[in-house]
Amino acid sequence: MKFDWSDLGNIQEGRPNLGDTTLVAVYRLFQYTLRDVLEEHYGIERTEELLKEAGYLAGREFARSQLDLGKPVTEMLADLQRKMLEMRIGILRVEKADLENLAFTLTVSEDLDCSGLPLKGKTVCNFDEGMIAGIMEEYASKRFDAKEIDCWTTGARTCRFVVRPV
Amino acid sequence: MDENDPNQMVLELLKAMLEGKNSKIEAALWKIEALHSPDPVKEEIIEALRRLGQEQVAASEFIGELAKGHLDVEAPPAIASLGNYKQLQANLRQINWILDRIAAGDYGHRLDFLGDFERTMNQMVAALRDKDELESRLEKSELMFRTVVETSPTTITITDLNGKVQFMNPAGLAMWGYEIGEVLGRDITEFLADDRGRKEILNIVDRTGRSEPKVAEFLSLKNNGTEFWIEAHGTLMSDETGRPDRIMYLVWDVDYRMRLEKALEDSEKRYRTMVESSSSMIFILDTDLSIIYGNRQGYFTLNDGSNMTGSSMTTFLDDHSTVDMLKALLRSGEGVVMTKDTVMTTHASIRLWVQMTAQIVPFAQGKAVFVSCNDITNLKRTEDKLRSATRKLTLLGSLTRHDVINYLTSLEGYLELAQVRNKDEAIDRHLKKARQSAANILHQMELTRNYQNLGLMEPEWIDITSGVQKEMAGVELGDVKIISSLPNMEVLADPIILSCIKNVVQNSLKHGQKTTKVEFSFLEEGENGFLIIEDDGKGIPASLKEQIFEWGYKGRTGHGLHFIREALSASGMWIRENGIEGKGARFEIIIPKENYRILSPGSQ
Ligand SMILES: [Zn+2]
Repeated sequence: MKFDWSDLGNIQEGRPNLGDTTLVAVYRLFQYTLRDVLEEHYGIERTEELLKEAGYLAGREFARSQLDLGKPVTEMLADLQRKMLEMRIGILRVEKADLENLAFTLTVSEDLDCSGLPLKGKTVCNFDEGMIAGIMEEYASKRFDAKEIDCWTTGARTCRFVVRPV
Repeated sequence: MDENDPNQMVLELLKAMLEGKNSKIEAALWKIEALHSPDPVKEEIIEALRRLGQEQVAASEFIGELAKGHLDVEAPPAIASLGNYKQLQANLRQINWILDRIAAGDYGHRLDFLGDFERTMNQMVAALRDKDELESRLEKSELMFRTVVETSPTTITITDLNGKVQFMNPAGLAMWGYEIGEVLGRDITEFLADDRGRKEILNIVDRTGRSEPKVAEFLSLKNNGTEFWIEAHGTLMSDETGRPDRIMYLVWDVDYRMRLEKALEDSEKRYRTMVESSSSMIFILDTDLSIIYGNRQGYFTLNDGSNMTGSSMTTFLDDHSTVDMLKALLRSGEGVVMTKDTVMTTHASIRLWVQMTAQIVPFAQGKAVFVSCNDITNLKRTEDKLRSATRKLTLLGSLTRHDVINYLTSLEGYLELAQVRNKDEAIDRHLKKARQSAANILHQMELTRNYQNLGLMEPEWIDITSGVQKEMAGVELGDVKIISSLPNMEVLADPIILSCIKNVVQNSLKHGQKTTKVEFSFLEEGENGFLIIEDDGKGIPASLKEQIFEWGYKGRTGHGLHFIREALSASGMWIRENGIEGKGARFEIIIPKENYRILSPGSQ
């Protein structure tokens, strides 16, 4: 993988008038059309894997460039919470934490990917799963898995992720 | 009403659901479990109702658990209507997590977008964070004060308002010699050695809080019974509401200082008594020569016993040079002593001769002149009388001697003439004896001439070493060697001492017979110095050792040894002979310590 945070370019310079924000619809337009095309080519299961992998890559780069990884885990989570709010990704909350084993239940409300989507009977935030795992891995230097167990698309008002080392 | 009527059964379920009672719903559901309708629409309605009923029961159980505060309960899956409850559960869990973090002392988590909760929760977190910071600062400051108290060399002890000890720092325990367990609850008065202290110790605390802290000295008592002086300072301490509830004492061991002060006081008293009762006049003068202090004798002699403090010393001093001397002394600083005979005029205009000794002494923050005066008026008067009497005697003596010698000369002339003309042998014999007597009288008269000036010259510091050298140059030595190991020294004496020494040497040469050397040496023993002149002649027999110093002893010429002894004793010295007959004469001139000074050690 050769993605680097700097690959996002100099947005300030590139968009002096329009600035660094856009509409959520534009983001979703991009993600769900891409997802559709990928499903068409590789099937649903493979597409979900690919999205999760992309999220993982994003999570690692995000952690590396945006977080102070030297802090205790609770402080790092508080930082992550603020950062996700600032970047309008979603409202991160910690529901449960086993600090010793670094096992968490996290929720993301008003999630960028799924909040407001029609019911589908299954979770859709595969990119988020990968991203959360990537951040934790970058922080703790070991493999993590994040699984979304509730999603707007399963009728929940908030996405819920179970995160634990593997 | 037919219980098996499908419509009735469905209606029963709907009513139970409206009622919200799970048991009723479950009973109704059980009844319609086997219910089917050939009409597909009706069949779908029955199925939907059945699911709705099941979901309501499941949801109600979930919400019931939530209501009881069981946040861990899992929501039944796939019930769309439970979405909001699940979010509520998520939010409650989030709040729970933040509370957990707060309990762990972590205030870094915020609650966002949770309506009323958000404000109160975040305010609470902020307040707790502030309180926590304050506590941590307090803790640090308490630690700091504790360290100060524990390591302070000053004794710090805290008592209740009645003086019962509640705390004592290690310095205090060490000072009094107790373990901490032995002092807690003990009365502070038990550390004091006398009743005055026991009464005073609680009173040194200012209960009004208005005046400066009081410090007092107490005689204290160690655990081992030793008494020692302490200095204590008490302050009230207040509780949180500002009500005084304890006393803090700061205590210093001032035993050494107190004993020193006491010793100083005693010694001062002693000296004051000495000064007060001294028969000398003693004054202490300020730098402008005004009198700061005078003793009884001073006031009595100069001022009829009235106090003279503030008057200027100069009004009593007739001699300007004495005033100048005192001023010069003030410029010269401490340690210098000046002595001068001067005239003072008393309050009653009586003139007194005094011998004044003045010295700069430290006084208060600066310096003062310590003046001691001895009334020597009578001494001066006697001295003057003596001097005038001596002058008269000398004049008389020299006139008389002059006339007597003239008469003797003419008497001798006439006796000689008479002898020439006389033919009678018997008369000639008498005339011979008469001439001999006249010659003896002349000799005696010559002798007295030497004594005439004795004691008239003031003694002065005489360089003995080079003086002896000069005198010896004028002596006919022949083969006799002069050896000297005299140090470079001076002697306070009548200048005649040098010719006395020369005479001693001349006598040695003349009467020693086999003398080959004369040796000068000096040694110190006890309070005296000994200037020794010895030769290797035949010496002096023991029987003559004192006789040679007698008036009219004829063995020797020039200044007789009698004269030498008289001359030396006029300067406070003495001469004796203690050589061994046959081995040589040894004359010792004994000089008191204050009458000689050695400038540099002797060389051969
Ligand atoms: Zn989702």
